[in-house]
Amino acid sequence: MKWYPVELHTHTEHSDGDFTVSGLVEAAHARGFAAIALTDHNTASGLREFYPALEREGLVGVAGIEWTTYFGHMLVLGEQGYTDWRGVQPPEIDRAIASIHQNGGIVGIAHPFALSNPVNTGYHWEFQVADWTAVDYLEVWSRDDAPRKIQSLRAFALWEQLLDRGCRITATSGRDWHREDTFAYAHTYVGVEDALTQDTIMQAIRAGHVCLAAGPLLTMHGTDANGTRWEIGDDVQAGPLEIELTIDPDTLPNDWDRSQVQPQELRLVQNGSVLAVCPVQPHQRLHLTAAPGWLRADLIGTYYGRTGQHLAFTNPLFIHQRG
Amino acid sequence: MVLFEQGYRWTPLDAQHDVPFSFTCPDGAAEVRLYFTFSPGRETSEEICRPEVEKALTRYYDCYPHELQPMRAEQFLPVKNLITISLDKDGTYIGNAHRWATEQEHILTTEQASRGFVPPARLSGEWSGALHLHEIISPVCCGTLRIEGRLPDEVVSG
Repeated sequence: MKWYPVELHTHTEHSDGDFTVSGLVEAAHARGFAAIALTDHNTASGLREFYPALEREGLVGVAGIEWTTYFGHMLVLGEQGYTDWRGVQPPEIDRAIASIHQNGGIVGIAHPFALSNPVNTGYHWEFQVADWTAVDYLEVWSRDDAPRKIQSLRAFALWEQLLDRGCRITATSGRDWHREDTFAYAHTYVGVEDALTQDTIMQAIRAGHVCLAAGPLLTMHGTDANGTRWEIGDDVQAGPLEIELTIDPDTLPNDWDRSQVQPQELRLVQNGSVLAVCPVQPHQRLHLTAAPGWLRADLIGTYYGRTGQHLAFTNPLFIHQRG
Repeated sequence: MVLFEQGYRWTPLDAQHDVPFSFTCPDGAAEVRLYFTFSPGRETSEEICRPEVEKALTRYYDCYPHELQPMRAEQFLPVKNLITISLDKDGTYIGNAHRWATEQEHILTTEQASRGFVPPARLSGEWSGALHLHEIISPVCCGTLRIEGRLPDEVVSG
């Protein structure tokens, strides 16, 4: 599996961003992204300019839109068709998500705990999701300085609660990129076996083949008791597992400040509890017996002066009762 | 030719509601133009804004210590009103102008459309849309929406 940095949440002059579509794609290329989604507020009118710009810069694109409603913002990627964002009341969101899925799209809840009205309109997620298993992804990290923000802590807590309930919801980071600036941002990486395309990116998100990093990229894979290889997001049976952890400090060299992001330890977290603590090294292999639930790797360290922060984490491996 | 014209007067009670509109464009029009204005664009009264921003901050912090991410209401003053426009042509969604500007002009032809909208297949026929009152913090916010259809080579003043 190869890991690609992608930005899944962007805006241009087609809504309230300052970027032209070409400028956005050029900026993404300059910062080292392999792919970018165009997710203007309630419009896909930028797509006519998007594809030629992607071709010029050699990037992969994902067609999207950000539902920008009174009750929350929802990222919709790859929908072939249109589900109306207007008039959807909080109890009706499941029906809208089902419609988007029927049209081949996926949905992600954007910045669910961001500062909202009257400052940022509709940012706080108020839709009443009845079936959380239908939500494909959750923006656990949003905008700049994400690891240190309270909205991130709250989103992270929601994500873990959903995982504990058995929901397979993929965590992502969204830059919510409106204009060029010099702030510190985290990144989303998708793991893809084949060529990077809109379809393989969407499939990686659906399958949980996603890692988040505010600095070095942390990835995890391994083999189960039968010697079968697994990747982040896969399902394995409970029992002995071999786990390989890799830290790539050379990722996206133009988009994070090495002097401000200092890893201190690696943790394996199972069902919300720390299962193992490991030193920070480029590669390491662990053997352990995993109980049913979910298992994730976290890179912990100092982020812009604050210790004990998440610098990177994987989406989980899902472990099921044997038999 | 004027296809639609309406003045509006909104209060904070109207926030988070849609205001629908519709019009018919006759055959032969080469362009549809929407002129939308609203005022004020931002509410400068601290007395009005500060309590609302403080409520938003309380909700944001929930039970987390404020020192984790110190923010003060002053950082977010003044507060803007936000109204956006969406459009449908013959029942098909053609986009939304989601922007903060208080004076907006949107021009649509079958070839080109202002940012936020895609060109419709034809201009004549039934149009509908809505003004989306994302935030009305001012005690009174007034708006006007004027929609014109223009014939090829039509000379207009203003």
